Amino acid sequence: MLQARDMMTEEVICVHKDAPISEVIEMMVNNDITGVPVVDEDRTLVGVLSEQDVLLLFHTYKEEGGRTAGEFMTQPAVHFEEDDLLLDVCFRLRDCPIRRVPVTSDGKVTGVISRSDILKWILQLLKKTCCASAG
Amino acid sequence: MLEVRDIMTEGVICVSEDTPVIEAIRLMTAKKVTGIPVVEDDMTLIGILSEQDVLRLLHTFPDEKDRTVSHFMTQPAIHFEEGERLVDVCYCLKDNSIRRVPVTRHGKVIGVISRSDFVKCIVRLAQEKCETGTK
Repeated sequence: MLQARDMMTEEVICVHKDAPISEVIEMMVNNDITGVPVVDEDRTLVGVLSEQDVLLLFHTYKEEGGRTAGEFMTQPAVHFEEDDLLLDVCFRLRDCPIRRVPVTSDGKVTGVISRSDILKWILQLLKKTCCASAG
Repeated sequence: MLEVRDIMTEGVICVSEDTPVIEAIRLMTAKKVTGIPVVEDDMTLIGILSEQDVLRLLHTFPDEKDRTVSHFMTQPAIHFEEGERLVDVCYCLKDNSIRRVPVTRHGKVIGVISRSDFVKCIVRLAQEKCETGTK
């Protein structure tokens, strides 16, 4: 059975909980990402920061713009270990209002799986179906 | 007071109810969008198709792969007219499990506004604050 490690993206950008929120959101925009795992010094997952968490900065920036990632993040973060079943990850992303989940190994972030990854997987299924019927 | 038309993205990709769902997924992946408005020929909004709507295909693929958008879309779609207040859209995107809303003019889609558009706006606000030297 497929595991989380079989679909995860390994080059995952993380931010430290003390990172200034202004830097974090600029990084999200520059890298075209909608959420980022928040970690401590040794990459242990402490939370997730998503667009939804920072949206209100749109009109509270004057008062709140000096804060850190840790003050906006959602915790605890829904996450999966590398050897968890991929199907369980997919069900969670389908049934919960979250776009991506960090993947961990002994609590340390080693990857991320998002809804976009599952969509690409679905397109791969189509390719395999077409090849199978053509062959 | 900033209005929806001030930060919306125009030239928005749309699909019809009869579009094959696989084609819609290809579009979402290729254009890196997480949702697509579903419209009539005259651009009248009838629903919306998001990543979350199609995730179930991962395990219903054999039975549903040839289906059209109509079997997956959400309707009615939450949307805003172009003259509505941005702050209302901001709260809508924050408090609901939706990442983007179509923008309409007399019910016809003319754009889309997403959480990412707000986050880019916040980055601009932060940069303006730096430039004016305020703390």
